[in-house]
Amino acid sequence: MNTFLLGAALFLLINLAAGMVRVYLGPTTADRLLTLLLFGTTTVATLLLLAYSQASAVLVKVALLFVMLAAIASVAFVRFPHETVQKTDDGRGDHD
Amino acid sequence: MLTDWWTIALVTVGCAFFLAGTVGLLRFPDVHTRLHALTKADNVGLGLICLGLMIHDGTLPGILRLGFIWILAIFAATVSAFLIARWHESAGTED
Amino acid sequence: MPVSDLLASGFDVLLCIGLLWLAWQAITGTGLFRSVVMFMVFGLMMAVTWARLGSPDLALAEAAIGAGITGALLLNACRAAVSEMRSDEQPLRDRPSGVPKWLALPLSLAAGVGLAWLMHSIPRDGGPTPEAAIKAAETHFLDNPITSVLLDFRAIDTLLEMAVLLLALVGARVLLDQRRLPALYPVPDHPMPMLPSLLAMITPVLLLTGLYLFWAGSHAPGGAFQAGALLGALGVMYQLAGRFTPTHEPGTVNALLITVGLGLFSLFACLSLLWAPAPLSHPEQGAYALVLLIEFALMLSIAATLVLLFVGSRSLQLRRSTNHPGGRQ
Repeated sequence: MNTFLLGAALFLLINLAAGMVRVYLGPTTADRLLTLLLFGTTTVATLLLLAYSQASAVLVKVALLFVMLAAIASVAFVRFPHETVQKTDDGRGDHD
Repeated sequence: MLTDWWTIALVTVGCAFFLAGTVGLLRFPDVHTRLHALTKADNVGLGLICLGLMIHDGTLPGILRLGFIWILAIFAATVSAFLIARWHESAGTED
Repeated sequence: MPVSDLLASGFDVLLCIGLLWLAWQAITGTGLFRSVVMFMVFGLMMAVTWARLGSPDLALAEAAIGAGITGALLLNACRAAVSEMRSDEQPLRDRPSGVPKWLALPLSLAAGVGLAWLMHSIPRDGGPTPEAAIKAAETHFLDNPITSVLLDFRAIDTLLEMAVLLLALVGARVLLDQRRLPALYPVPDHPMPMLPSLLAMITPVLLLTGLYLFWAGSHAPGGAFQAGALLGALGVMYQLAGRFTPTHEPGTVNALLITVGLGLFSLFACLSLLWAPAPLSHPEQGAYALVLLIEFALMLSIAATLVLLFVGSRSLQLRRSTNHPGGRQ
């Protein structure tokens, strides 16, 4: 059982690596932020799987901390003026 | 053990939903559809994994903790998805 | 090789490669914003790494700081960098400061050499070894060895860390005063949709979890730093939702919150000389209550300092809103 859970965690990690491509493709700043959402959810799932595969219950609390704070990055982001983000993001024209 | 098979089945299907979310993130044409793929598929995936682990755990505090994590994750995803979509809309960026 | 070992090594190798790649991307990336995203993802992966390494204390701290504070702080920095680019009147480095620039190199060299000399002069064989500390922790009045190291064996380190945190805040304020940056996160004209309900849901949960981590620190992973970072993240959320008003007058409550940790800890260091030959020794009786009190003060100071670092103003006032009064400052 533990082996299976570890395998599932590995699968999610590979899944994340694939999702990283979106940071490169962009094309808009919001797309890059989406990757952060993907990472947030998947990290929580990975931590939960690790918690049960390694039988260390405290990792469930780490996952709990992550979901509680998951929204902060998005909220901080949308409080930005648009032109500020566009100036700090070179999102136009790379790779596509 | 029958419960083990349930856990394996639920976690596997959960992982499949995560895969679907990533495929959607990479293949869908614009921000809104990608947002849709990500925040829905991934949270269903997380829910199924939580459910599978609940069966595996079997104790009341563990089950409650996993359920709470899932509810909070859904709430955070809802707010994030809404705020990002709204921000993107008001930016008027052309895709 | 059994399948589980193979999977475990695969997981670890992928994690290692991913961490190195993310770190490289965060440093060398062309766009500031992309670098920030890379760094935030790096933080998430770091928490998974600590989990794999069996260090849940660090994973907790990484989760609280990496997910709650760092991202928002870096986005702030992005914004400050852009507003600096835009208002190109008198960039900071061209301002006369009264100290010749060439002094920087010899001074930093001297500081480096001095530090190296100090490190070298520490005796290798004297002093407690990690093994001795862990052995002593087994019979310590605190069940969590990490907390007992932080607050007993190496209490002086923790005390100085609090001083560093305070210095960081002072430094940030000096910089902000010099640069005259525009107010970050001005209070929004319209309340943002969904934020009030998010706050209403997350506030009790975060407060409860923060207090739990603080209390759990004596016997399980957790402690003042994790709890403080979590409460700090709550404060950042309040600021983002426009529920704090930055003020220019340093308020009493704010000043008290920032200094109470360092102040109480230093007071304890002085008082402990009354009953022990060395400072920071715990008394025979009431040590547990004393540690709890100091931890609580540390937690408040850490939280307040992190929030003020994020906002970059002298102090904050809570804005009463019609349906959700509350908050910490």
